[in-house]
Amino acid sequence: MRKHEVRVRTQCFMMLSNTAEAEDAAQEVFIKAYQSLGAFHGKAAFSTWIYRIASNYCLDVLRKRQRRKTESLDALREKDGEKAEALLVSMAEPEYPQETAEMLAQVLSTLPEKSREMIVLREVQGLSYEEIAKLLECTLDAVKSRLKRARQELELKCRHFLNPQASKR
Amino acid sequence: MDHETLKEKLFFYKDPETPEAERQSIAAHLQTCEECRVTLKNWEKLQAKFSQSVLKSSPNFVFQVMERLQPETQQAPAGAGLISSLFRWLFPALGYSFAIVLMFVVITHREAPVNTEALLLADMPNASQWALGNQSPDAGDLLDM
Repeated sequence: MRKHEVRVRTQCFMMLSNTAEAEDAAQEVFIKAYQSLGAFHGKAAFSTWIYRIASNYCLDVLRKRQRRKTESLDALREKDGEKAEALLVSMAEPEYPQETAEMLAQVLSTLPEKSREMIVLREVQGLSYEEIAKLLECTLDAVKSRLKRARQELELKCRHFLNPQASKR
Repeated sequence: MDHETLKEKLFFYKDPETPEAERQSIAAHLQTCEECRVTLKNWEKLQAKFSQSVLKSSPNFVFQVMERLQPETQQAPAGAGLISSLFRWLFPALGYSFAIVLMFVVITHREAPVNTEALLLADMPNASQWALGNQSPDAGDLLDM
C-alpha cells in the first residue's frame, strides 16, 4: 500500500480537484482493491490494476456530483491568474508541489471527464499507450486519438497562463 | 505532411512510442514554423509540471485505510461472504415463506366450530325438556339434586 499510496492519492486529487474528496477516494480505492484481490490475475501490473480502480471510482464520484458547478477557467483566471502564471511558467522545481498540483487540478477540472482521465493516466501516472489501452479496454488508435484531443484541450486552456506576454499583446 | 497534420502530431513528439521517422518530420517542420514551436514549448512546460506535482506521502494514510478495513475483516474472513449473506437473507426468507404457507393452510382447512351443548345432548331423547325455567314443573327438584 505504501508503494502505491502517493500515486493513487495524486491520481484521485487530479481527477477530483478536491483534497478531502481525493483523500477519501484514495482510501476507498485501497479498500476496493483489498475486497477484489481475488479478481487480480496478474495479467497487467498491479499498479495498472489499482490505477484502473482509482480511475473508475473517481469517474463515479464525478458523475454523482455532476450537478455541482465546477469553477470555470475565467473564474480561475480572475481569482488566481497571477499565481497560476507564476507556477506554470517557472521551469524550476516547485518549492511547494502541492500548490502546483492544486493549480493543475483546477485546470484539469475544466476539461471533460474522459480527457481528464487520459491526461492523469499518461502525464501523472506515466502509463504507456499500451497500458492505457489495456486499462480502458480500448484500441491503441483510440488511446492516441483521445490523448491527442486531451492534450490539445489542455494546452489551449493553459496557453493564457503559459504565455502571459503573448496573450496581453 | 502539411502544417495541420504536423501540429496535431506535435503532442506526441517526445513520446517514446512515436516512430523515429515521424519524429524527424516533426523536427523538420519545427525549424520553419514558429506557431508549432510555441505550442510544443507550452506543452513541454505543462508536461514537466505534471511530473513535478506528485503529492507528498501522508503519514496517516495506511493507518486510516486499515482502520476502515478492520470492521470488515473482523466480520467475516475472505470467502465467507456468500455463506453469511445466505444466512442473513435466504434462510429467514424461507422461514417466513413457510410460516405464511402454514397459516394459509390452517385458515382454509379448519373445521366448523363444535357446539358442545349439541354434542353432549345429541343422544338424549328428552333433551329439549332439560331447559330450566320458572315454568318447568320439576325445576325445584332438579335444583335440589
